[in-house]
Amino acid sequence: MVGNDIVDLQLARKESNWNRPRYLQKIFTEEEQDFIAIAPNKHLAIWMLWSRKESAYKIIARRQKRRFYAPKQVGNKLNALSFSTFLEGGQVNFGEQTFITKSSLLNGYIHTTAQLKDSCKSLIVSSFSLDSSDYLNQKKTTRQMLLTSYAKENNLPVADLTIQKDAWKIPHLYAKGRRQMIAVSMSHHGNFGGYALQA
Amino acid sequence: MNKTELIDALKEIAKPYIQDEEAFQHVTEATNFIDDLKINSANLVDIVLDVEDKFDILIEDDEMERMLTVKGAMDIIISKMDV
Repeated sequence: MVGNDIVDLQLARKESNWNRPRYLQKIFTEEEQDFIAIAPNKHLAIWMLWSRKESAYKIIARRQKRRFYAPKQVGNKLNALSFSTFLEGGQVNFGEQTFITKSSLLNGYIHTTAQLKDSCKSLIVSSFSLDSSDYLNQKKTTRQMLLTSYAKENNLPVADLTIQKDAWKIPHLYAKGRRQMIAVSMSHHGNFGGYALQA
Repeated sequence: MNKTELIDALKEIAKPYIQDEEAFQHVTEATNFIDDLKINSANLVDIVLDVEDKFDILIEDDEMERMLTVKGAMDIIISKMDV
């Protein structure tokens, strides 16, 4: 399984005020709060940590077929040697489960992918800018980007491909109505979209 | 405060963060903040904080787990207001 998450850094600045009293304490573990307190770039640290929690949470929710809002139970392990090492990726823990995350800091956004530590495979990862930040358009474009790329990669007509979500809101890729054995995760935020595929 | 008033109060709180106007017009107890109203998960914490401020209550971490739906939020608020 795979999880991915995108944060549009400019939009995050606009729609979330992490200086709000009790904000950081509600979503970050003490270890994470300590890390943020001394981070050279707090905004970046906060959204990096958040995107990793979100990416890992997507896998947890899929495995458990259960949704919950407990950001502090999904904690980043922070023994990074330096801030620049931290920016590349890290480890996230949920109970006994460990996830490995990789992050890319791109032009104005963060794209993170997560996999279970014991089942790390090579991923197909892509991210891109979207021409509209309207929610439905973001969703549609992100799906279309994934399908177009998968069709090309596998020599399939894109018209044969669809993405359908199951009862637990987990997306699956179908070719001519047949479910493909590939894990899919999509994300979009503000002007950016991305996805990750795990065979 | 009855159930309808409570739902209205939650709608007022959620309003700045919603990304689906259509779903927002039809909020019920079953409405999911993220799936239905398309609220960014990073903004769900704002809703938790707004609920705390508005109702002068403190929502514990284990209670926050259920804050995904209007019903979940209502249950928490009601349980706190009984005290």
